[in-house]
Amino acid sequence: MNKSTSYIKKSKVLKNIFIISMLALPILHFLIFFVYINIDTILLSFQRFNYNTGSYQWVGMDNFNRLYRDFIELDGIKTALINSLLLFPVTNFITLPLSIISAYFLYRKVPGNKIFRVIFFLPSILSIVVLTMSFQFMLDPYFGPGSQVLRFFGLDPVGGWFGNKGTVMPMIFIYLIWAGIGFNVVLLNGAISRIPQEIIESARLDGIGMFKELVLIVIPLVWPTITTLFIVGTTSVFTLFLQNMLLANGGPSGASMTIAYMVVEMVQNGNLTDAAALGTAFTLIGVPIIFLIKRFMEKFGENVEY
Amino acid sequence: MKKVYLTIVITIVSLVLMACDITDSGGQENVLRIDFVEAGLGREWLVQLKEKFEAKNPGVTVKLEGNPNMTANAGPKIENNRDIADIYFLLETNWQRWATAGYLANLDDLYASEVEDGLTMEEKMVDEVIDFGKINGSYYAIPWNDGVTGIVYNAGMFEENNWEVPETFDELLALAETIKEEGRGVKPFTWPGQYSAYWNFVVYNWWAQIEGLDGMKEFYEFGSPEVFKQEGKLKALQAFELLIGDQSNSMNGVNGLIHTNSQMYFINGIAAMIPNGIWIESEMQHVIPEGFKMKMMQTPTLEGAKEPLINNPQLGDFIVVPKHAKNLELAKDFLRMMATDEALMLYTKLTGTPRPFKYDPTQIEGLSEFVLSALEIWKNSKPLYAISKNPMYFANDLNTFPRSGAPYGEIYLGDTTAEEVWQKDYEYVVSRWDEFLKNNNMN
Repeated sequence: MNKSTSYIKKSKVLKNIFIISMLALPILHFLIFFVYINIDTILLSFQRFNYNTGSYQWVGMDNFNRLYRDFIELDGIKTALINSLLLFPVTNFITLPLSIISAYFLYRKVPGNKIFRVIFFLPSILSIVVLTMSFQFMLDPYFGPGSQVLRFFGLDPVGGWFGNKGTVMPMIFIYLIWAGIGFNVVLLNGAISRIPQEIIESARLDGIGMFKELVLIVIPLVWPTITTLFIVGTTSVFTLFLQNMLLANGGPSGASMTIAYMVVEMVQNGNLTDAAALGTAFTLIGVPIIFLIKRFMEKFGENVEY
Repeated sequence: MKKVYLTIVITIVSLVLMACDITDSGGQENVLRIDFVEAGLGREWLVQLKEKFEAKNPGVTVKLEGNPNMTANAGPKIENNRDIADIYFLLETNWQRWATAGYLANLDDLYASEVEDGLTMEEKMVDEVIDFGKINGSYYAIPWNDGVTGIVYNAGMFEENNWEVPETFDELLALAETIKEEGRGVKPFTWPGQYSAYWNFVVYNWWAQIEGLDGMKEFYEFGSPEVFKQEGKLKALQAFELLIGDQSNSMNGVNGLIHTNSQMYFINGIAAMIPNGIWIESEMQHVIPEGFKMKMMQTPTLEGAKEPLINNPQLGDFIVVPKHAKNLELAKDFLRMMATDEALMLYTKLTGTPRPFKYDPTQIEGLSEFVLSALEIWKNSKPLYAISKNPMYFANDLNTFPRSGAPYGEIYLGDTTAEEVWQKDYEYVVSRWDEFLKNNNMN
């Protein structure tokens, strides 16, 4: 009896050690790279570097006041905020619906679906640097095939497609849609292919058309995946910068800046405290919005199980 | 249960030690590690200097680590004293913060020590850059590259069409018209709109021509908002507006180009001129077509210039030694060696770029026609070193165009005028002056 109790105790301890050692690394990672970094950033947003003493000093709300003043008086933050907010409809109301339709057509094995599969998936496996370079080349003012076609229709903006304030963001949005569909289609395709075949077959026996099948059966059954993609798309409002940096370097004259890009640029210039203040301010605005959207999406559609 | 807690503590501590390696700042005795930005200048210059140094110091090995992003990579290492090199060669960044925060070695003794022929490092440096590496009364950095910037032109095309190299701004304007008339579709200029600050290479020269070097020094001291009312800045911007505000003087789509694209258009003869620097030849060496000839012209002079011959070297790249470098003295020896005439000549020969020291690189044999044309400008011009020691400058509160950055793209597109940029910069600085003083503990 004693032997068996001691064995159970020992195996329990071993099990605990195993669980703890497996959890230790992710917990540590979370503590350092999330908790510590975020607390440090928030603290930094109330400080400023003093070049006389070589240390950070507390400045209260000064960094936030300055941001507010910049927002009111200068165009930079306003433009970046508008560009960032526009990412919400572009990713959620253009890219996502197009992705759903594309994934459905691939699922229905429309003619040429194998070629389309490659076309849709290719952007999601290539490096963003390669993708942005190809896109830029397509619209190169002299050699770009895209530019030449558009020129044929009389569209040839002064300064180029990425050098004109009126065209730079639409071009970036087109890139985001082109490159974004592939990623979404990969996830949606997986979700659609898990829908039980008998549900689809039964609907087809009832004579359902493609449109109704998509709207009444497929979309409700893959709703959790759509919710996830919607939330990921919403977070891009506060995190997207690389595409704007690689395609237009934030220009012309700041016309393609986003909030995240402003933060990155401030960090690159060694202006850590203003970057921390800008990041903190928009985190305070962004986190509740994302939680509200998550709750809304969960209420809007049922969490289906099959 | 105690055992479980003990296990948790041990696991976390070991993981922390494994992950952070907090006890070791990196480096080995007698292995001099040099981290450097490996970009347009390549690494051959450093390989040859390494060999020279190792031959002079038996038992010492020099280890080189280069990559294009070294400036961004070095910061966290220096600030955390982890895996640090003994010497860093980096591009312009806020090293003043590292120095005042105590991360960098004090180089006062290096500046005062003899390099060769009884000359100290300080004496060997070009006079105007001695203070470049100084902050709060001590030296913490050494300037890396000097430079030559301005307008680079397609010399072959100029010869073929009998186009004269302009000496005055009016001649430059007239040349632009001639190129459009006679150039069979060639445009006068291409430039990288995505990095429009390349126009600083020309506009700053015009500004300094009007204000003189003393005027520019006064500007970069940022003593009061009134420096933003300098007439030279306005005249330089107006000259740019006349030249590039006329959109027909630039190739189509120029405002969306990156620097390598615009350079490709230039070497392929789509445009006759480009604002650029001495580095363009080494940057484009693998794609320059056979027989292509280019040269750099002395920036054409504006009417009323006080100093007609100005070069804007774009000083900013720097060398630092971390305070906790394992081989501090070896690092200083290496930097002393780099300041000898022999090493300076070797550096320029291999990179086509001068360093801000007193030597004559035009005597180097085998330099290209382009590099020689640029070095002639370097030798014959007064250098405009835009060095500011004002904390408002380090803190990014003030710079040349403090309100919204380089205005060239906006002027090209016709969204603003030279006078508007000049006036708004001034008004912006006046309205924020007290805030800047307070931010930097200067009130």
